[in-house]
Amino acid sequence: MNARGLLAAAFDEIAAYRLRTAISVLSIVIGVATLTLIVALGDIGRAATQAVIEREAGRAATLELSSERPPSQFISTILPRILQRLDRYGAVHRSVMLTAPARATFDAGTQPVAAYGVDPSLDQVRRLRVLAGRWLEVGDSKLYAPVIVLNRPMLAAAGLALDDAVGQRVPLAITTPGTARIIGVIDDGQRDGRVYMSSAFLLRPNTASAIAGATVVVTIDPFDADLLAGRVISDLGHAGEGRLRVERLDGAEDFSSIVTTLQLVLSAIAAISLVSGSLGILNLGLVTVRHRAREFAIRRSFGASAQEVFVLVLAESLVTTTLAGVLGIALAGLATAALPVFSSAIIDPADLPPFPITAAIAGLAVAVTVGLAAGAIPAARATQLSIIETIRS
Amino acid sequence: MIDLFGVAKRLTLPSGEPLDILTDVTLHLEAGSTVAIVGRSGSGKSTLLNVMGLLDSYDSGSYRIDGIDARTLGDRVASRLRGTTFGFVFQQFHLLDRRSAVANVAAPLAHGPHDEYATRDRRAMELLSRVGLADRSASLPSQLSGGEQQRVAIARSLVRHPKVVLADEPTGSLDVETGARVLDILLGLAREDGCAVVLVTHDMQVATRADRQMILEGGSLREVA
Repeated sequence: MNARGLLAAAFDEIAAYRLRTAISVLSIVIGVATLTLIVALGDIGRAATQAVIEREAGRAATLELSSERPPSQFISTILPRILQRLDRYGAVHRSVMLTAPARATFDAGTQPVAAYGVDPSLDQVRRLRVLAGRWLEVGDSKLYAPVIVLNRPMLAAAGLALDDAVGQRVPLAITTPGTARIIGVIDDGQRDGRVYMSSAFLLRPNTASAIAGATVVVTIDPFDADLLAGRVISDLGHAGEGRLRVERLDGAEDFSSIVTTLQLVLSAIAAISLVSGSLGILNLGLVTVRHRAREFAIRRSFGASAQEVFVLVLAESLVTTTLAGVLGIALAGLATAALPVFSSAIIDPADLPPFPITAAIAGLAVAVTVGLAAGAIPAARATQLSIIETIRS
Repeated sequence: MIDLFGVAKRLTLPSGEPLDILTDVTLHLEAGSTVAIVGRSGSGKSTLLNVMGLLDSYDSGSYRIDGIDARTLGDRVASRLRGTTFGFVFQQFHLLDRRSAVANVAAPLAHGPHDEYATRDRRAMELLSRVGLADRSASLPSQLSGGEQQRVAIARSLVRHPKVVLADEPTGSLDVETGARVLDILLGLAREDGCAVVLVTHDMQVATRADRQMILEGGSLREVA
């Protein structure tokens, strides 16, 4: 069998009957485009939302550990025990989060701000995006004068431009007046203005009394989240540390489940469209085989075996649906490329991942499957035609 | 090269009645020779041609092609042998619609080996030139006259260097003058290529163009006296 020749014959047939081919593939193009788009949008939506969740609440799975006890007692007694146990249980990343009211003076005037004392590893717990300058480093805690990182709302409230903020020194009063140097601006997904600094600054004797809240955020394997939460509560609860609260912050699991359900429902709709498209192609294939009986008989007289006729008809179906699939995938790709224009009000375009290759693979696999399914029956029918009767007629 | 001995074939009519269309066909065909088979309508001429071209089976007797027993062949081997041994010319031309003349001539090469396929355009143009249609290579069958279509069909039948051309009433759809010209081309090209021709016709004038004339009557074949 001359595979190249048969494939070329299949292409010839498609080219010779362009209109018939175009009509038959239209439903496949639409079906594959829809399915690919659903898979792509699901993946893109999941990734983009995950980025937002990871920035606002933390990566999967992020637990926040807090206590009913006053912050000073939490810091002095409970915090060391929590950190010890987290290390023992194999937490991936962790950071303390201390909050203290402060006042900062910018060009726009003096205003109250929320100062957050955190560990540099917070950017491992949450997906923080540095917009200018840099995030906190371990060495920053050793500096005498505090260095701070502003979030976007804080930058806006301060009346500073993104390009000019880094390097500026601003008066910052927590308990006593002082000065802090801005080293970076970040997008942390929060709507309220925040000033981040090393937790070590807030824990200094002259500022520790101002701490109004203290928690620990920790990222662990999502599989172990419930287990770890239970263990920490059990251990520290029995150790007489009062009531410890453990709350899961990220909603990734719930969101993923919603997206998966939505994807399944939409995929089922696309599948119905594809099945109806396949039946259309199958029907057209069966009618076409009847119309092309003479051609198959002539090809048999050339030396084509029944198997070659089968492969020829199947190849035509496969080539047609594969081309339709590629077109459908391209349409889905174009639609997702336009996504930032329509979704910028909801999702930051920077959070949108590129067109997922899995969607393209799924679309192509569906196109090939449809081609095989819709081509096999007409192909089998083509081999059963009587050469003699057809040539005589 | 081609040896039929006592070949018989029975058909079943739509009424269910059996019909012994071929009862005892014996024929020896040498390379490069031409044989005309004449007979009345329904005498089994086309059936014999189909059996010879491995398009149809037979019930009894012996049929050998270059010593190969045709009865033992499966579809794949029979198809390959058909493609390499025989070229067909039909009364109704049977060209592929919507394919140019050159594409029609090249079409059988898609079912041949790769090296034949690789040179398909050159080979098809060469044959179109030999049938005098090089300037009509891009024309569709619907744009060609009956005589031109049959010349394309002759070119197509020779494209794979067959040993035998089986022509079933090749001039049956053409006027006398065009038919004579087409026959000249068919027999001339076959002679040049050393190719045997089996010509089925009901026209004795056409039959006399062949080396031998045989008549199919009562299911058996005999030389015309």
